[in-house]
Amino acid sequence: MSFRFVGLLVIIVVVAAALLGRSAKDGEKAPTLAVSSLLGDGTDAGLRVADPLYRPEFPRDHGAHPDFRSEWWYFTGNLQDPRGRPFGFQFTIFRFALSGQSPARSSNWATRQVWMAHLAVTDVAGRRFLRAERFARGGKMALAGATAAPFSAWVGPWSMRSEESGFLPIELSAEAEDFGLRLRLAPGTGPVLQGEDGYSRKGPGVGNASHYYSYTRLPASGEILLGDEVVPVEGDAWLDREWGTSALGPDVHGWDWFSLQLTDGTELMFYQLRRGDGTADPLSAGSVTGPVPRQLDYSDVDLSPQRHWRSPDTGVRYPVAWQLAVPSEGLRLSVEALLDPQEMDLSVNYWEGAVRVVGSRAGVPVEGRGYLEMTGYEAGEVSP
Amino acid sequence: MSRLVALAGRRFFVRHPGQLALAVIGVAVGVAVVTGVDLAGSAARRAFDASREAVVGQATHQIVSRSGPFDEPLFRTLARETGLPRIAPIVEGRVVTGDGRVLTLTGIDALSEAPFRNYGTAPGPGGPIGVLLTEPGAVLVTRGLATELGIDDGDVLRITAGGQDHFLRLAGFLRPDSSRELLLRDFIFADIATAQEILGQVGRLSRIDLILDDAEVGVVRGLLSPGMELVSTGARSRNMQEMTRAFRVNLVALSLLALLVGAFLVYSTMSFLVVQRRNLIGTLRTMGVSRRQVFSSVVQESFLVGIPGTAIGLALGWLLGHGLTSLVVRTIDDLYFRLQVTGVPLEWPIIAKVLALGIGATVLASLGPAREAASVSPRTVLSRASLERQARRRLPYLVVMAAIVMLVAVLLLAMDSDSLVPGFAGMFAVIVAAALLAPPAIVVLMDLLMRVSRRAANIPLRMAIRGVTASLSRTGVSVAALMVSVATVIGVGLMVGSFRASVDRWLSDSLRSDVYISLDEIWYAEGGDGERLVSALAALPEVGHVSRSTRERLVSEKGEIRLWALDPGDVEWGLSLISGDPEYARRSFDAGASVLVSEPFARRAGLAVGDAVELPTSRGPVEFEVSGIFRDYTSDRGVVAVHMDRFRSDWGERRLDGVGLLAGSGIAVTDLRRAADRVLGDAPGVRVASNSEIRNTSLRIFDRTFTITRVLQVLVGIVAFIGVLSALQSLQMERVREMAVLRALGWAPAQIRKLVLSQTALLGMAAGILAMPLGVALAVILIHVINLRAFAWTMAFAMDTAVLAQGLLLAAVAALVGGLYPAWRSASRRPAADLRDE
Repeated sequence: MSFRFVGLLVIIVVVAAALLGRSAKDGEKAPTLAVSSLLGDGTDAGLRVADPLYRPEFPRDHGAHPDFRSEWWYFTGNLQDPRGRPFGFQFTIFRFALSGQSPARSSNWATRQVWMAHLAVTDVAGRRFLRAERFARGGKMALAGATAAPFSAWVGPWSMRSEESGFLPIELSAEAEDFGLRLRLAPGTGPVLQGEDGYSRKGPGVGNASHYYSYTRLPASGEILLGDEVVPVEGDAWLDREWGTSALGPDVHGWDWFSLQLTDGTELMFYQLRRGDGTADPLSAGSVTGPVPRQLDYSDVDLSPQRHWRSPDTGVRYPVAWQLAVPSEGLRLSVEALLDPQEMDLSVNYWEGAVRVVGSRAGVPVEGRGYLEMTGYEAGEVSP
Repeated sequence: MSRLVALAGRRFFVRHPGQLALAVIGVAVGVAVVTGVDLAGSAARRAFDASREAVVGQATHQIVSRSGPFDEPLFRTLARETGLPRIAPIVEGRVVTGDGRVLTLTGIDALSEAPFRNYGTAPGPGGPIGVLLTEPGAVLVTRGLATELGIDDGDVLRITAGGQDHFLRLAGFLRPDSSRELLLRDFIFADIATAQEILGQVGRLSRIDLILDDAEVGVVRGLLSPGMELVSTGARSRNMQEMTRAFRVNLVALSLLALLVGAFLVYSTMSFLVVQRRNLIGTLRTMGVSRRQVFSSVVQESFLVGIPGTAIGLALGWLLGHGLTSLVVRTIDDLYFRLQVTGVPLEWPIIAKVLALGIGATVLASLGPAREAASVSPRTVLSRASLERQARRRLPYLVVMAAIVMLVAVLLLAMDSDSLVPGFAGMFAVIVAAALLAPPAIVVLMDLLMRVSRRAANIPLRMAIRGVTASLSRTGVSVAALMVSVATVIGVGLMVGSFRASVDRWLSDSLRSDVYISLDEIWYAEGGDGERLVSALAALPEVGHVSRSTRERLVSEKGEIRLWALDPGDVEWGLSLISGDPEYARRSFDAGASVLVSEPFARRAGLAVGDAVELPTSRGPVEFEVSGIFRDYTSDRGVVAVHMDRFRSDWGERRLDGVGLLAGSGIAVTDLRRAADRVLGDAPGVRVASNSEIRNTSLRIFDRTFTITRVLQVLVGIVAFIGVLSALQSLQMERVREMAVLRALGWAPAQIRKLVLSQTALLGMAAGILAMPLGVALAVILIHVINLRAFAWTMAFAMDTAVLAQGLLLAAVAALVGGLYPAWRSASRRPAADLRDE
């Protein structure tokens, strides 16, 4: 789940401006933004860039890295109620530094950090996709922030925090107006350092990268709130942690990012950086867990879209079914959305949703669940 | 057969285009007045909404503290623990620019603002919001303000806040829609951190805006400490709505009056059309046309008048609306708050309403005449004489009906209600009763005149007098219409005159000092000290006595309360008590033991002397004894007066905004003023005015307020005038044969003219005379019912014979001018042709 919002510094400025430019009275929606179109220049005086020699350390790196432009705590997962009714969820907290310098200020509101949280629940049986967002500023007012030990990250009342002194178990708690979730995530698989020991390249040049680690399977239990309904749920979650100050390559339009949890106990992460002509950028990469964990590069994976869905709200056309093959692992997988409309048409526009996986590993049938994120499918998008 | 009927009707209009034109114009003017007032009212309301939105945005509630800015951790508690999704902190204060302009520096948290306000900030990468957040001192203003301040994007602006200089940098522009542009010209927007630092409010907030549902209100209330208040902006804006409601209701009433007169006019035209075509209708009936067909044909004809009249009226009204809007806005500006109106759009709801009203009134007015037409029997076509006899036979019924309507009116007016609706309904009922009484009253008047003139008058005059009575079936309605409009002019004139006299007397009672000094925020921002100024002034040999005052607005859940803190010193205090023992009231007021309330306040709160009133002090709510009720026309919401010492101890506010100086004995006011000017120097933010200047300004504003009333009066008069013209013209048209006979008998054209003119003058006089008692009645209703309920203040009724005389003159002139053309037409016809007609 690398760099997906790299450069959101720009976004946030735009978002805030768009929000202010929006007439709440008219009920108009703010123009949503194409994620990939906002990936701007990767340098800003005073901001740090990722260091290939840096090794993530815990619990220190569970906390915030305010000198990097962007950072996120990205939880997704597939859940089901006691009768097997499936749900998907996403709860992400993003942090963006608006500038590298912070002059000494006396006000507790002074800050260069802006925080954003996205929350989504997919009710597959009810064919509902609920989503919401919140914004808050950093600063000593502590309206939003993150701490390393004990871990906590919050935007207003939406929070993720360690229950005990260790990182796990973690409690996720977020309630939007008509839906919400309260989940407890137990220790599972991870941390998995992505890329080269957690140094994940996003674009050409040194430092155009992020620090990236994942917890690929965290047993989850708790409840999902749907209106007045409280649904007890269980399942598996996935955490991606990433921070950096990077930019995409010049011809990269968007990406297709997969996080799959297979029934054979392994997990697969792969992001395809998509170029203008639809082909994969060589910096596309991923990893598999299992008895022999390994990193994947773009030549290891064959990806082809199978079916498309056009969003009636934004008009964007997304491939919601894929064939994903990793010949070197003997994996042939069909990945399909549990529900086509899982578009996050919020201030930032992308598709992020729960998927089901069927296929085989070396001829033996295998199934699974996971999450898929797609950006850069906006119509009429032009190359940078 | 129906086609024949319709054709006959249409032919009539084709042959008498003047009749049609006048009826159409009458409806058009009536509709135009209603449209204009409606447009002005809605433009004012929109402006009001915009100003409210500029101030409170979409917030449903605000958290404020009685004692000014409050500690900011409350915001964190609300935002993090309760999870309220829509909550925004505001830090606000006054700053002064280099050239003395006072602006409001508003600190916002851009990330909380989205649901609340729309400032139309330019979107796009590198937009100004990011700069606002990260750069200390970065601000946004509207382009208009930037131009006024002579700065551009990136420029630095020096301001003073709390006596200290600061430098702000313009980081971009707000682009509000045009309705808010001017309102936002008094604001500088900054990030909340910048605002806190510049205003010296680090750690504190001015208010918190919230959008709450009912359940959340309880949660938030539970979290507030004493001294903090959750105020619904609804209550606030209700307060503002209330302020102008009475004013707007008055306008609407006047406009409806115009339509009423317009409907009278349609009624008279339609009934005249029927009367004149009795022969034709009779003929049609013998040919087999049914009553129903006749009825519907007349009603259909009314559309010929109603539709073009309404359409023209709508267009005229739109033009009128522009003029009226500026008058309304100026009044609201003068009396209440700053408003900006950017356009007077003719919107569908208004169009629909006016169409329904205009066409509806026309059709309604045609129902009576239609029924009359349908009742024409095919065989016996009634002669004019029998028709008039019938009209006269109906007179007793009119009197009975008038009595019934009058009874209803009295009941409505006597209703113990604060609502204006029964008051206006009662007033309209009085008007209708008077209109019903008009025909019998004319007969009585003319009989009287006949008896008086029996000896003296010549034949033509007596013929004129008889003619008025003899043509009652036509003239009755137009006289009634003229009477109503003249009565309105008289009634409103008397009311305004009485009001003005009361205000004038009150001004001379309450302006006890010779020179008044007012101190505003600029003066304080520049480091002024009220008490030091008072000492310096008191030390002047020219000054005999100094009084001090402060006006403060208290926010309470029940609405805003205007507090007037006053230290009159040991001279007369200038409060004229309506109720309460003056000596006791003064003693306990000076001791800080009680407060005085203004008449509107007492009436609205239902307070009497001896009652207690609860006021929100900085220590929480405190009950105060009311020791007196004083006359006051400064606010129709009411004022509470408290002694300065008590104010300072209970509200902890030491600012003064008014100082009054009384000249020492033998000192001229000009000398006093010169001495005061010496002490004040040329400090900004100070205004000095003499007693007489204030008085003149006040009366000037008063007169300006009633300009719109006068404009509407004139318009009502125009409608009535057209009505008279139309009625007289049709009357003369009908009497063509009569005139031809007179000519054949040897009357000269000049004599015919004289006859016609004297008849119209008599009609006008009759209307004028009848309008006098009605006008006085309307004035009494306006003063003792409408104004009392709308503004909650009383005034003495002042009879002004000049107003009555004006009314009489107006009626006579209107009738006379209305009669000129018919008189000329009657006299210039060829009698032979007219006689041959039959």
